[in-house]
Amino acid sequence: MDAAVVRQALLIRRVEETLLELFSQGRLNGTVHTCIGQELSAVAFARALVEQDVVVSGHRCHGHFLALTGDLDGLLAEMLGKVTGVCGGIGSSQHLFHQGRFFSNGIQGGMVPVAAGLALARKLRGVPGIGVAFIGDGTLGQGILYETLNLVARWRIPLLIVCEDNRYAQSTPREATLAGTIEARPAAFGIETFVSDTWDWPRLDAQAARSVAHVRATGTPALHVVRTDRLAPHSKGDDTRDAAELDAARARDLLTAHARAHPEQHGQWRAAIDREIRDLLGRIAQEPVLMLEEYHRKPRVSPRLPARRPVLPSSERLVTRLNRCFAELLAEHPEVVLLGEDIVDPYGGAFKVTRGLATAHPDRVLATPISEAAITGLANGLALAGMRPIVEIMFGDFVTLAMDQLINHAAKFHRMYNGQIGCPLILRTPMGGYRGYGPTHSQTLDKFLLGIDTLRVVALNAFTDPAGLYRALLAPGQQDPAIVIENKTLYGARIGDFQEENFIVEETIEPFPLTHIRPLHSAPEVTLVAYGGIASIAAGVLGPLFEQHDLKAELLIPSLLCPLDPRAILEAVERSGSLFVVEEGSAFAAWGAELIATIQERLGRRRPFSAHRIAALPVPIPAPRDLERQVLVEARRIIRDVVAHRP
Amino acid sequence: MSTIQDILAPRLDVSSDALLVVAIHQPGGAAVGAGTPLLDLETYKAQVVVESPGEGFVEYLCQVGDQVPTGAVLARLHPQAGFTVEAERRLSAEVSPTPGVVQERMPSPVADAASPPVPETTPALAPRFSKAARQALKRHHLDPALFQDQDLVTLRDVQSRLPPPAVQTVAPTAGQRRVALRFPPLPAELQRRIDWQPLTQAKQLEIQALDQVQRGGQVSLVTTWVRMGTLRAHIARQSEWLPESLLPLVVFETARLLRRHPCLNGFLEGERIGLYRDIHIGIAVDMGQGLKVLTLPHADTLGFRELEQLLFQRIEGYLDRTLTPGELLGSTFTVTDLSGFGVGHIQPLVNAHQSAILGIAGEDPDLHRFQLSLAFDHRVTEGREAALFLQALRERLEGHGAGPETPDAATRPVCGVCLKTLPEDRAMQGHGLLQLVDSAGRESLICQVCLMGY
Repeated sequence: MDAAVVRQALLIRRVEETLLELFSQGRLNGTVHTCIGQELSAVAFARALVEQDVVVSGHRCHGHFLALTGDLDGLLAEMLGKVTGVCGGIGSSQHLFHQGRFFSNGIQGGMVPVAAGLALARKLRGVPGIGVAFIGDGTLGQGILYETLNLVARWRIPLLIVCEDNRYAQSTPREATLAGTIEARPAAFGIETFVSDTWDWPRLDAQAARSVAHVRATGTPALHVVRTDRLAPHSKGDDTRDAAELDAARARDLLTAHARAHPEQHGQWRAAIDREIRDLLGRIAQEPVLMLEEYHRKPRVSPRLPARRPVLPSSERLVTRLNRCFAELLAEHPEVVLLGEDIVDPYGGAFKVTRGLATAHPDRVLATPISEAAITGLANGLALAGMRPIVEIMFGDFVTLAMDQLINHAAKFHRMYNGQIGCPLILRTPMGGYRGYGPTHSQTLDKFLLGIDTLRVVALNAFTDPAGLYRALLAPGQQDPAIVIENKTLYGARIGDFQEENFIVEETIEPFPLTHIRPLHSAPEVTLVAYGGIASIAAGVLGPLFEQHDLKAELLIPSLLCPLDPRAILEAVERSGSLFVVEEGSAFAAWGAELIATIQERLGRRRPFSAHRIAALPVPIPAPRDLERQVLVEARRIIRDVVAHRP
Repeated sequence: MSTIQDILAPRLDVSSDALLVVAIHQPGGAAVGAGTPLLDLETYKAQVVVESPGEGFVEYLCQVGDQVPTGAVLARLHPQAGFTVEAERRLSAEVSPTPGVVQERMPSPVADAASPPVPETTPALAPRFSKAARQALKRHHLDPALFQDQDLVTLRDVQSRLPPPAVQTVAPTAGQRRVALRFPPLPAELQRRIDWQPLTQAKQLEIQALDQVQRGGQVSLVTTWVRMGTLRAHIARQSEWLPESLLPLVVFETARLLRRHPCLNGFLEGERIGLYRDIHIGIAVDMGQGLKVLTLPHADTLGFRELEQLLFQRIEGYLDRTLTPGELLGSTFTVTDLSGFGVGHIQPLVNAHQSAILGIAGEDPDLHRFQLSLAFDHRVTEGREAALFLQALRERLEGHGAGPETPDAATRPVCGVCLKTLPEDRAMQGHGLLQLVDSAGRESLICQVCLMGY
C-alpha cells in the first residue's frame, strides 16, 4: 500500500471515530453509520474514477464521500449541522451531495436506479462518464435493485454497482436472509461480475480499476462484490456480533496491520490527521446554523386575482392534443425524454398518447420493462443530470409502486441538498374509473400524491389546454418534481366543449389556469369545485340544476391541485356561501377535505358558508357498469346532493 | 264629442306599477286635438309621451313629480270649455276610459333621482327560464320580455319582480290619484354589480336593539361643548390605566350625575316608564372585533381609579375575547366614545331598554374643546332635563381641567375619590377637602361632592 492510500483510509477512519466521539459527547444531532474497516473499498474505487463519473451511496456513505471529493471541511460542517456543510446541515450523515458528482440518500437500494439515470444521461448526451452505486449486502433484499439490474443490462447503461459485503444487515447475519449467492444474481442478468476484498489491497486496487475500465470501455454495467468487515456497530451501540468474530476481523484489518508494522510513521500520520480534524472542528464550531427563514419561507401570493379570458371550444380531442404537444416538446427540447411501459410504436401507449413519437425519436422515447419503481428512479437520475424526463405510469393505480422514488427521492433532493440541484421529474398517469376496469385499474389515488411536500400535483381537465400545462412544467427553473394526473375518460374529450345557454367558460391567465364556468351575469347561488375528469360530469349538472331545480350554480376547475391556490375559490365561496366539492376518489383525507379546511381558515370568521363533499364511496371500485357508476359519482348524485344541501 | 274621456296611466310593461309624471305640456283647460302631447311619464325603464286621444279641453288630475299607478286617471278631456269639477264627479261613473296614446321615446339624458339611469343598450340576451320560473310567469301572467336583460331567471327572480301585496290591493279607480307606491326596484344592471353580504347575527341583534327605541321616532338630541383647559394634564396625572383617554373621567362623572337624573337612566315600555334603581354604565366599543357594550356595574359607587381599572379590564377582555355575558349585559345607560376618530359631532342611537346615550366626540384641535351629545327618548324625558344633565356634566369636566398644567406643591392634597386637587376644587366653588377616617382607620381626604353628592 502506498502512503497516499493508507493516509486516505486512515483519514476516513479517524473522521468516523471522531464522529462517534462527538456523538457520545452529544455534539452530533442524529445518527452515524460508520464504515470503519471498509475504508479501502472507497479508496480503491475513487482512485479509478475520473471527473465525469458520478457516485451514489447510501446510509454508510462518509468513506465514499471523502474518498471521492476529499471535502473534509464540508463533511464535518455538515455533520455538525452548520450552514457551511455540504448540504447546509440539512442532510447530515446520510444525505450528502457534492457538485453534481456525489449523491447519497438513506433509503436502501433507492439510489441505484438514480445512478443508472445519471449514467444514462451521460450516454444519451454522448459525454463520457460512468455511474457508480455503492450498496451493502443488506440491499440485496430490495426489489428495486433487481428492476435496475434488468434495466441497465438490457439498455446497456454504464453503471458499476459496488456491493460491499460485510455479511451483516444491521445486526442480522447475511446467511439468515440471503438465498443463493451474491455473484449468481448479476450473472442471471448477464452482468459482468468482479470479486475482491479489503484484506488484499493489491487485488482490490487492481480489480476496482478493472471493473471501472470494463464499464467505461463496454458501456455496459458490472457488479463488483467487495468482501469486507465492519469493525464498528451498524449505527451506534447496536452490535450483537460475537467477540471472537470481531477479533478475527480486527486481525485482518490492513490499517491495524500498518499501525503494527510501522508504529512511528502510522503515529505521525494519525497525529497529523487528528490535528487537522481538531483544527477544523474548532473553526466549524463558530459557524452558524441554517435559519428557518433561509430554509423555508411561506410563499407570497398576490392578493390580486389573475386576469381571465374566455375558453373557446376546440375540435381537437385531448389525446390528440397531448400527442401533438409531446411531439412538439421532443422536437423543441433535446433534454426531454419519455419513458414508460408500452409507449413505443406500433402500440403507442395504452391510451395512444405517445403514438408515433418513438418512430420520430427512438433514442428519447423509451419503452421500459414493467418496473415502475426503477423507471421512476431512473428518471430521477436523468432529472438530476439536467434532462427533462417525462414518465408515463400506464395506470394511476400503479403509482403506488413508484412511491418511494417520489417521496424519498424526487421530492427530497432539491431541499435536502440545500437547493444545490433540482429534480424536475414529471410523472404522468391516468387515474379514474367509468371504464369497468375494476378495483385496481379504476382508482383515483390522488390523495396519496397530494400529501408529499414539495411535489407539485397538476390535474388535466377537459377545459384546459394540456399543452399549456406541460409547457409550464417544463419551463426553465423548475426544481421540484411534478405529477400530472390525467384521466382515462378525458382522452376522448374535446377541449373546452361546453354547451349551456347563458353560461360562460373562462380561465385565469396563469401557468396553471383555473377554469370558471358561471352564469353570464347572475350571481351564482352555489359554488361547485371539481378537478380532473369528473369536472366534465360536474359541468354537466349546471344546466339541470338551473332548469329543473331553479338553482344558479357555478363550477370552478383548478388545474393545479398542490400547492393549492385558493384565491379564486375563496372569492366564489365568499359570494355564494355554499361550497360543493366533487371528487372522483373517496372523500376521506382527500383534496376536497384540504380545500374545505383551507377555505374555512381563510373565510370562516368573515363569512359563514356551508361545505359538502360529493365523492366516491369508500369501497373498491366494482367492475359492473351500473354498480361502478353508483360507487363513483354520477351526475344524478351531484344534483341530488346539491339540491338537498342548497342554501 | 259629447262625453268626458278619462285618460289613464297606461301599462307600459308588467313591472312598472309606478309611473312618474315628469312633464305637463298644456295649461289646464286648454283645447287639444288628437295627437297633442299632454304629458310625459317615466318608468324606471323608459319615458313616454301621453298624447290626447281626441279633441277636447284638457283637465289635469296630476302634477309634475306625482307617482301614479298604472290605470290611474291622469287627465280628462271635456267636450266643452269651462267644465266644473262637480260635473266630472257626477259623470265619472259614466265615463268610458280611453288609454292615452303612447309614444315611446328615449329616456331623458338627465335622469330624475326617482328614476335611476336606464342601462346602455347591451346585445340582446335571450333569458333562460327555469321550470319553476316558467310556471310562475304563467301563474302571474307576466311577460317573459320583462326579463330580457337577464341570463338565467329563477323563481326567485320572478318573485322579485312581483309587486308587494300592499300595492296589489290598491285598485286604481277613477278619481283616485295617490296610492301607496312601491319604490322602483334597482335597475338590473346595478343589481348585477352588487356584492351581497349577509347581516351577521351580531348586526341583526344590534339593529333589533337600536330599533326598539328609535322606532318610537321621538329620539331627540342635545349637545354641548366642553373646554379642554388642562383636562388632559389632569387625566395624565391622575390616571393609572388609561392616561390618554377622556372616557374614564366622563364615565366617572356621568355615573354620579345620573343619580340626579333618573329619567335618563330608565326606559319606556308600553304605557309606563321604568326607572332603574342602579346605575350600570355601558361602554360601546368597537376596536375591530365587533361592536360590544361593556358593562360597568354600579359605576356611580366606584372611585375614579377603581372605575378606570374596571374599564381597562373590560377592554382587555374585549380584545382577548374573554368577556363573559355578564360583562356585556345589563347596562342602564350607554356612553359611546368616538373621540379617538377625530369626529366633531356624534348622534348616537339609544339602546333598547334605555332612555339615553352619551356620545363623546373628538377634540377640536383649534378651539381646544370637544363635543358631548346626549340622545334621549323624548317619550321618557324632555329637553330640559337632558340639557341640565349635560350642563352639569360639562361643568364637572371643565372643573377637572381648571387646575394648573403641571402639578406643584399646592396640588398635592387631592380628594381620595374623584382625585380632584385643591385648585380644581376652588375652580368649582368647592369648600375644600375634609379629613376622613374610614372604619378600618385609614385616613384620606374627600371633597364635598364626593361626600354629599351634587
